[in-house]
Amino acid sequence: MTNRRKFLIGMGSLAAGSAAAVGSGAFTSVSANRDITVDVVGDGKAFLQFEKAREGDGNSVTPNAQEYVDTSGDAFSVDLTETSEGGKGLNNDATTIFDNLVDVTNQGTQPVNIGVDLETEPEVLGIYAEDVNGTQDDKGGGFAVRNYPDDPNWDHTLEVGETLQNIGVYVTDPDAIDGETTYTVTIIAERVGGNLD
Amino acid sequence: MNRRRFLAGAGALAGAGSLALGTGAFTSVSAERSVSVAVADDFRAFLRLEPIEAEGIDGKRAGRSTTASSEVAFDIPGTDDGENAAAAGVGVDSVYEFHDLLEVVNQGTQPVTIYSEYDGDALADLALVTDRGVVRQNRPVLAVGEGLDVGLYIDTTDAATGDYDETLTVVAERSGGNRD
Repeated sequence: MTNRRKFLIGMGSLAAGSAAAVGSGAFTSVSANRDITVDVVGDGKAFLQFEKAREGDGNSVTPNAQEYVDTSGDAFSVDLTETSEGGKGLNNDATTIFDNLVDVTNQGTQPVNIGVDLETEPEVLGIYAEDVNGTQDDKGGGFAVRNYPDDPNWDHTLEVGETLQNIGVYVTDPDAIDGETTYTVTIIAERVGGNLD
Repeated sequence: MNRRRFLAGAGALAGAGSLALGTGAFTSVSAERSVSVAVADDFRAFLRLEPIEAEGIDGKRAGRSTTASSEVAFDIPGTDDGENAAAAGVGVDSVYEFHDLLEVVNQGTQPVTIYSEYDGDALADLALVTDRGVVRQNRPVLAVGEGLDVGLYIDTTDAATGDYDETLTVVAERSGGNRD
């Protein structure tokens, strides 16, 4: 499962009020080139950081993260297709829970709300955070954000530097999965209060 | 602060009584006229571009928009103490928005429409963004004297990791286009 992440960060607005027009001059058009330096980095170093989940003491990666999370590329992915012990897939007619897979940290400069856009979450599984298991109805209520962007219902807020630990996946309907399937979900982080100043 | 003033040639061809009968065919005429042009820093130009020194961590500047020279420039991540030192950049396969980096003010005499253009290929997209979304189809109009806070929209879908020096063209065009 590869993850497509969406990170929306807003800057606090400095009351930019008074725009006094000083110059005089009619111009018909202005086209100005301006330089932008952008560093594009992997998940481990980005404003919104994703890492393999760590144990509570922070010292070691959890066994599930070690087994199922791949951070060798720039974007992390979760692979639930096989185990190093010879397992080749999920049981039919069962709910399987994969706890403690990924940690996410706000490395921006403002508090953000965060969640998986429910619109992108596949029917067959749910994504949750910490110990909040969702139900079949709300599909991963612990981490998903509903009604984004019109009327988002956030469950989690991350202060600057704060980590949301142990994001996991539970698969509720394995029979609906056709062989080996890759799903992509969108994770949204948005400045608390939304994008409007 | 580099404010330059440019006064171009003053030789006027005072067209005295050159009344000719018939039609005059000419191949070319070169007549010098005076044009005064002042080139101003971004913050005092007709289209004023002024960095918003927004607060980063602990109320310090993040340094994501600056005017070290006479032109506005952007750095993501920011270069000042208010930036989060742990962040090395935007992530791959992501859409980032950094709002309120720059104030654009119409200091001309007519309403103008604001938009941006990006010709690079390092990023999937780079554009101006306001609180109402990406400045694309829905282009804001600035009345005379009006200002607007804009930021950057950065789409890294399929972009490789790396440090990129990109150019964004900020355009202000008389509302209704250039034709009368």
